[in-house]
Amino acid sequence: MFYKGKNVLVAGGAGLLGQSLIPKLLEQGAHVRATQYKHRRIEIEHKNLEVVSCDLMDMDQARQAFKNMDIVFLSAGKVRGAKETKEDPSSLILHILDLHTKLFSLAAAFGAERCAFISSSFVYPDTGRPSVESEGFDGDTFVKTHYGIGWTFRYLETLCKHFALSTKTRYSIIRPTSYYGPFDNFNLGECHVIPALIVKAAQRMNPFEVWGKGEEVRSFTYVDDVAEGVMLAVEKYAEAQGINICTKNSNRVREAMELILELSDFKPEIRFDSTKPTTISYRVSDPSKAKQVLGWEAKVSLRDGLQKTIQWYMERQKVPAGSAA
Amino acid sequence: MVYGATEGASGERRVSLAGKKILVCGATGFIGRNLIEDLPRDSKAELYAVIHQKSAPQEWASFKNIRLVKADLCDAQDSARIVRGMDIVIQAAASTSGFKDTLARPHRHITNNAVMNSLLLKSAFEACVGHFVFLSCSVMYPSRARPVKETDFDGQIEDKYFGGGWYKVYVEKMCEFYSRLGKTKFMAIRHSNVYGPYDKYDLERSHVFGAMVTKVMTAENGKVSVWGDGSETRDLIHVDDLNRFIRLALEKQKQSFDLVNVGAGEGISIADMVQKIIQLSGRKLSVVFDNAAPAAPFHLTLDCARAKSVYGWKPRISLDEGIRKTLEWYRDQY
Repeated sequence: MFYKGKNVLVAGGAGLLGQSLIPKLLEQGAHVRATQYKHRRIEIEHKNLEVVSCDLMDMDQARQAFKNMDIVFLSAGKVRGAKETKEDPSSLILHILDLHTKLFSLAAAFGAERCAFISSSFVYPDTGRPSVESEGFDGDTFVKTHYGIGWTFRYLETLCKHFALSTKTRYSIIRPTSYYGPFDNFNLGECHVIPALIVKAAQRMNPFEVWGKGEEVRSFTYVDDVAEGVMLAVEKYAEAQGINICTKNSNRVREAMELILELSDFKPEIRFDSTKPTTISYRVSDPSKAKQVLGWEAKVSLRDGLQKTIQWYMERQKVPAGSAA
Repeated sequence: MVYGATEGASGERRVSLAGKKILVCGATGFIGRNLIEDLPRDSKAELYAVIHQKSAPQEWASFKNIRLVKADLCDAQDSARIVRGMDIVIQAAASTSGFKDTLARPHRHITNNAVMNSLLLKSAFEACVGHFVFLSCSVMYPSRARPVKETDFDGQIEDKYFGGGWYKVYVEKMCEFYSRLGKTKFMAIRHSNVYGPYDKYDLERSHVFGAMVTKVMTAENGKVSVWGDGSETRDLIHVDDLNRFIRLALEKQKQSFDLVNVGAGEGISIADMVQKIIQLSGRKLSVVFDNAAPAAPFHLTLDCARAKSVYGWKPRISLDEGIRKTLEWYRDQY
């Protein structure tokens, strides 16, 4: 039991990945400290869980959170969907860069043994086939809108290696892609495609509007699978080298939409709006290395994952207004 | 921003810098200070010198075209404020940290520089600055016997230069990214080892050339000790030649983004460099190499064909002349 008795920080504990990591870490016997920010709340109570409300961009507050931690998971950060990315392609870059450079240096300064960096499949060039880890620095990243963010993730990966070369902290670099599940951002206009489709179905939008043509291909991966892969990567692959954590299945947005409508028991007229912003048409990663190195592969099917997510979202809608985010 | 353009002697289109507002970040540093003292002399540009903790040199009081701007470039509001209204931004600033800072926040020089540059790029993009010049470096290149071209960077940076090299590559990429988004032109300069007046000459912080000059000029007992076996080679470029390239780039760059090597185009071994400095200093000294050759000796020479063909630039100051000028300056100062 690698995590048993370890002091583990989940920086950004209230988000999609954070809320999935916390119970898994507690189950494995870790002492968890998790940060939450503004209105987003960690909805878990446990004797070995310490919840800290703080702004990680504030160095003094962040420093307190990093004290005496053996392992840190950096799962903080904002979510941007296609709309905001198109309107202001540089908005996320500074935030992600600034936050992670601060958190990497804190992990090293406080002598954490291990640090997990959640990178992204945006590091890959657009090859039209499943991306493998060794292509992470080939040529340029997806050009147009994602050039800046792609190079920012590449740079942050090199920064992990820089710290790994010059300090005692060991880094795991995880490259997930298109993951979804409970506690995701479900605000239309900010969120990714799956939460957007779930919200629209729940609202009984008719005609049902889908951005793009529905032909975009993704490796949609359920968050519990991702969290499990991330934890194994920290345990077994802290080599400051990227590793893909995603399902080996790829699906079109249209297929996810059909499942969501079926699971929501809703049969609207569908309108694909290709004037609305979408992103890259094909973004799929190859998880073979994770299977080989970690013995991990995603278990939850798209249907099951969507069902769990929709169920969670519908329960959430029943909570009286004002008591939830 | 609209530039006044004139036809040069060769018929090429050159932008006049007269009346342009030029912000120089890192004005009290080595390259920045040379720019500040050199650029307004014949360009009639208005210079805005960014200073932070260091105060402006007294000599500047007599310069008419220089205004001082106090700012912390790691602060988002300061960054946006000083860039607003500028025609040109020359980014020659680096965040350096003292011993105390390094203890409190290790690696701050690396992490801060990435954030500081990203803030400046975003500020320049948002303020629709006409032209942004970023001083990159050449540590990202592999060690090669022959001169390296801009395209020879292969994504591999050796461990010793890894953190510093990647931050420069990242900022170059962000220059390219912003050049596609907005109206600002970006020039990233991969210069070789720059030398000249106002370089760092204390042995704690100086680079190879500054260290050699200091060692030669302060040597006692007739001996100069040099680390290593002196076989590594470097490409040395005088700061005035680099700054003349910046001027040409501002006048001639057409593409929205360009990445250009600027160096001597020939390498000199550390051993020969020391001999030259000793000879030109007029001192009688013998050289002691106090260590074995490094396991992987680093050789760097820049291929500067692009600087020549696109911008009509080539170095004018020979190494002998450059060293002589630098030693004269050193004697005046120390």
